[in-house]
Formats: sequence, C-alpha cells, structure tokens
Amino acid sequence: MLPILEVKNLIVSIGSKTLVKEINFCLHKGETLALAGASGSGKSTIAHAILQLNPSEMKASGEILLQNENLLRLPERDMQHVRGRKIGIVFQNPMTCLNPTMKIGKQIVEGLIYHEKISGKEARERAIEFLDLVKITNPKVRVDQYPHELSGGMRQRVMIAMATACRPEIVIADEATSSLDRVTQTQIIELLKEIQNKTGVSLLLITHDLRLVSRSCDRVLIMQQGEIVESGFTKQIFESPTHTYTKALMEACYA
Amino acid sequence: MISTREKFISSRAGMIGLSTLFVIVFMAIVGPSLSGQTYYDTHLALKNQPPSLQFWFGTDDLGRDVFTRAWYGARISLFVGVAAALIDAVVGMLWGGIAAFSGGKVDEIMMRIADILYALPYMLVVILIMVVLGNGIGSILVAMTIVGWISMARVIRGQILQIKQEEYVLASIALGANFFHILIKHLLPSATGSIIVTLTFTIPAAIFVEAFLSFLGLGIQAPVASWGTMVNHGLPALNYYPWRLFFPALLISATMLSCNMIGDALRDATDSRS
Repeated sequence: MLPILEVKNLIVSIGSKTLVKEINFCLHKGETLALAGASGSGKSTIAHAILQLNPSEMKASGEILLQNENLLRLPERDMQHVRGRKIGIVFQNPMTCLNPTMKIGKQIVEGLIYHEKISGKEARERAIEFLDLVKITNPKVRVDQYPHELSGGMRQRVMIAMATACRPEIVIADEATSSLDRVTQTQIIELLKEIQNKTGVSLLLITHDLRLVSRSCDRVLIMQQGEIVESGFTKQIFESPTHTYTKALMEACYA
Repeated sequence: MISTREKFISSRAGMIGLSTLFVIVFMAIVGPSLSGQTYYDTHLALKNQPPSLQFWFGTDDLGRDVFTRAWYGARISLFVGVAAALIDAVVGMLWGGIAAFSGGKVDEIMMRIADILYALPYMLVVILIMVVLGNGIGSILVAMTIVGWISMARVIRGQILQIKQEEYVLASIALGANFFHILIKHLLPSATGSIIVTLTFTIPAAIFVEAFLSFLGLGIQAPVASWGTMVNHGLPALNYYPWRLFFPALLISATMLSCNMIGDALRDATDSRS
C-alpha cells in the first residue's frame, strides 16, 4: 500500500516543554488508522500540527510529508490550499464548531467556495446534495436552518459534510464522536466508513475509546505522554498487547 | 428563547426613543415644506415674532421662520451625525478587526497608534483641522472622524479577541479560509450586536459635536441652518425672544435622548446574559 502521509521525527514543543516526542508513522491510502491514548497524550497536537493549526507559540520540527511535500516548510498561503482540499478535519465538539449566526447550508460549502470558486446558486444545490449524502432528512429545509435547530448528532454530520465537501484525500477525525452518545457514535463512524468506501479517503481517527478502535480501524498507534508506545494491526494489538500502558487502556475501556 | 427583536420591542424606553426619533426624521424630511416658508427668506418687518399661526416657532432677528429653519437644520444635523458615525464605524471596524485578528506585533503597533491619537485633546484637534480645512459639512466630517473612530476600534477589538477563540473560527481555518474570509464571514458578523449598539451611541455624540462646533462658529455657516448655529444665534436673545433658542435646543436634546434610549434598549436586548 502507498503511504499518503508520512510523519517523520515530529517534535512539537511549547517553550521548554515537549508535547510530542519524535513521532514516526505513516498513513496509507484508503486505510483507517487510529491514534489512541488518554487525554493530554498529544494526539490532538499531532492532528493540529499536520494542518498547522497550532498556536504560533508551539514549534514543530521534523517532517510531515504529504505526497513528498513537507507541510512544515509550506508557506501559509500554500497551506490554505492544503486545508480543506487535501486534508479535512472533523473536530470534537459539534456544538461549538459551527458558527451560530450562519445557516448550515452556507457553512457546508465554505470549503468549496474557497477552493473551487463556485457561484451562490450552485453552492446551495451542492449543500443540499451534501446534506443528503450525510443522511440528514429534509435537506431542502435543513439547508436554511441555523445550527441551534439541529441535534448534536446532526451537527456532527454537518461537520463531516463540511470536512469532506472538497473530496480531500485524508480526513482527520479529532475525537469526532467523543461528545456524542453511543448510538450516535456508531452512526457517525458508520457514516465515515461509508464515505471511505465510496471515495477511498484515508481516515485518521483520534480517540481515547479503544472499543471504537477495535470495531473500525485497520491499524492503531497507542500514545502515552507524547510518545508512540505501541503500534500495529488492530487485531494483533487487541489479541496480544505488549506494552503495559496498552493493557491499562484496554482494561479501563472494558471494565 | 426570546429573540433580540422581541426583547427590544418589549422595552418601553427603546420604543419611546424609536418613535420620537422617527417623528424627528419624518419632520426633517417633510417639515421644511409644511410651513410655506423657506429657511433663508427674511421678513425684516416681522423680526423676532413669537410663535403664531403664520410662524409656528416664531421668527429670528432677520425675520426668518424658525420652524422651517429648525427642520432644515435637522437634516444637516442628522446627516452629519449619521455620516460621521458610519465613517467611524467602518474605519473602527477594520482597524480594530485587523488589529485583534492579527494579534502580536501588528495588534500592538495598531493599538498604540490609536492610543496616541486618543491622547490628543479631541476638541483642539477638531478645531485645528477646521481652521486648516475651512468651514463646511465636509471638513466637519473629516475633523470629527479623524479621532472619532478610536472608540469603535477598541470595542471591535475587544469583541474580536473574544470571538477569535471560538472553535468555529478554527474550523473555518481548517477548511482553507484566509485572513479576510475569517474577518468578513465570521468575526465581524458575530460582532454585529456591539457594532450596532456602539453606533447608536456614536450618532448622538456626533450630533452634539456638530452642534457644539457650529455653536462656536466653526461649523455650518449662515444662511444654512443647523441646530448648533441656531442655538448660537439664539443665545444672546435668550432674555427677550426665548423661542429662538428653545426650539433648536429642544430638538437637540430630544434627538440625543431618543438615540441614547434606543442604544440602551439595544444594549440590553443584545446582551445574552440578561
């Protein structure tokens, strides 16, 4: 399989504190990779570093290669073309990630407007199409509604529609299901997997929930305090975890 | 959830202010043509007449109709007030918005420039500019807005510093938005509430400054009337012909009061905490 994203010796630090310590991993085309670990282990910092969304006080070094281009060296203007178009991201909290003063139809096509310069009328049609794609009923009504009129699960569907609108090659789900209930979580993961089957997108799932990992991921990286302590195929790790931290995480999940 | 509009409508002071302002604006449009007089025609035989059926607000020392002049002056005063407030708002929005969103050194430098301008004595600057540019509406506007935008810039900056921490701004950046997309699509619309509130307080302040400048003789020149010039000319005659001062002064007060009442009601209505 082809690696689509390669992270080599990534170090992220703020001041004298190192948050991510020499991380190496790669994401293959069409696969689902999990980055799992407890809160504060540096999972989200890595996700944000890939898209360079970290605050400017955070310094990242090493290499993040997307199709042999080092994202860490890319000027901001070129980075804007990568965000949304090549790599999409779904954030944790769908309640705060949608602008409460904007209709959801407008927000879904934001990326399209930046990258494809489509007209207002076309944008609306595309928005309805996307709402339908992420299985929101009554898309023609929903497109003109504001975020507060939608439930958490529906908003997360809207976020997924936003992140996948420009057909990126990689979608990062940064704790995308953590603030939802179990039933909705399953639906959201199923939706992501379905989009993956259709488009062949690579998924990077960032989560602390190993149950979710066991059901939906091909490979998994276990992180502890900024380091990858164990990695491998999901099945293999779940059957015979070697690191004590992995065992502890699994015990916590299945207790 | 009660909407902002409902909250505003249920506020008595706000509605009184709005209706008063509406009447004043309406009269500014139709008033000068109601009396059958012009603002510049003099009736030297009918100087300093008290209010009567012919001259509803009386006449001044040249026999000009105070009613017509007062409503004609309303046009100028309201125009200057609204125009100055709008210019302040646009400049302040961009300055404060760019400063807050850029952050760091840019923010530092832009706000220090604003601080320096703010530290200059306002009236002195305005009077100096008026002296250089001469009299007239244009130079009044320049003089007022050259320092007037600073408070708007500060309000906007404060708002945007808060809004830019919101996750939906990050989400938008993650979709490939650039600086101006974020500023125009997310930050400024979210600050609309405080922009409108500040605007409703800027308008009466601008009307007052125009009246004050005209009162000092720096503003609008006769025969064109503004409330300030009318008060200025009416003041010496206060003991004998009080209507010459009373009507323009009443209109200035009523306009400022109603604008402030609207502003207060809007501030309460847009405040999500109450």
